Amino acid sequence: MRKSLRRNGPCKATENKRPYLFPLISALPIIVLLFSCSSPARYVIISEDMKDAELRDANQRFVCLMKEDARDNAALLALNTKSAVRDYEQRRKAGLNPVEDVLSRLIQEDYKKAAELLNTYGDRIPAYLKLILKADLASEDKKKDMQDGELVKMYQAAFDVQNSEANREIIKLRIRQLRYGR
Amino acid sequence: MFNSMKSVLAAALIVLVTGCATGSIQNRLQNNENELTYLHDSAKVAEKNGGTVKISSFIVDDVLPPSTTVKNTSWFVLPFLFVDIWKYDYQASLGYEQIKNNYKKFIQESFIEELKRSGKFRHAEDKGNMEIGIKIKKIAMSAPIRKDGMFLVGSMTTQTSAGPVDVVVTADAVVKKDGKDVFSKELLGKHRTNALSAHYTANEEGKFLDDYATAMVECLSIAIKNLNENIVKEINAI
Repeated sequence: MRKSLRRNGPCKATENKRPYLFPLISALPIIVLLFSCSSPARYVIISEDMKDAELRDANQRFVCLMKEDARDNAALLALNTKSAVRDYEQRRKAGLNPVEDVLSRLIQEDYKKAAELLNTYGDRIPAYLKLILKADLASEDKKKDMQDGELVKMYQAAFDVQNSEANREIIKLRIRQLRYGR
Repeated sequence: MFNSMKSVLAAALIVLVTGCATGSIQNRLQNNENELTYLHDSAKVAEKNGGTVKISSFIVDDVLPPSTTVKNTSWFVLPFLFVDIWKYDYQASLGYEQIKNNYKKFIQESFIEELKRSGKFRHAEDKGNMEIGIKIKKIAMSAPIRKDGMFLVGSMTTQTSAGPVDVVVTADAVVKKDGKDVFSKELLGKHRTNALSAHYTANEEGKFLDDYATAMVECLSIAIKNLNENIVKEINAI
């Protein structure tokens, strides 16, 4: 009797653990999903007014819209997390204006499509935005294997056409992000 | 008796291990290559009505050693009975092998770029109203790294910190007009920087040092920018 108890002891303990283990394993994908949802978006679209509040995370890349463009594309603003970007994607309607079309691909990290659209729309994207996006998309295109100096020249071209201090600050930060591989 | 012997042994071990850290920090920094580059953000001068300026000579002395080195500048170990505390200070010095592009060429080209951008004189290749001669004679860099730690009854905690990086570039600038010196001055380009803010865990010392190697080249880039802007400002004031 004692022998059988000893033998059964550890088995019972294992059986008792299973009810806890199963929900834990089942919940794991949900936990992973929750973490991925709240992870910060790589690109965040902001407007000139939001600049001071938003420019803190050195791992995020900010794109600042001029007041008029920000007003026309208010749905794109301050989508700080990947889950916010997904929500936006679900509720956005067809027939986007060129700026929203390109930026929506950018925040979804679909850089190839964003680059295609940027070329297609050409001058329908304002120059201040087009030049920053060109440099950003070139830096995201790992295949091109560009030197930092070449990318800095692209950002320099973008810097020289900016009218807003916010975008000039963003480009300066972008140079640092480029150096540090962020 | 046993405790004191243990403490002395631990201290000896720490001295040995941390002494070897000089080599490991140096190797890690040497494994990085970064590019000298910067963004020109000075105000553009559209109307160049000051005449023409030619760069008659641009000399960059051998101001950087070939390879990045790390030297131990100070240290202490306090071997107590139950606890050992230690601190090591290092100083890193940037070598040109850790710079992707040719630093001498970069200094010259970035100066010409700055002159074209913010100078009130037009840059002339062959003959100008004025001639400028520049000599880069010194680059002084301070890039401190600190390692400290504590050994307490079998458990050890260590911490690596670094920065800020300080760079001073010294140059002589001489401007001649009709063969006569109109300006001759020693000018400095300075900058201080920290690595771009990031959270490093205890296991990420390598990544931390990689970013610090980047900060050293970044700081030198911005110090060169500062020097170029200072020289152009001085020429504009003539």
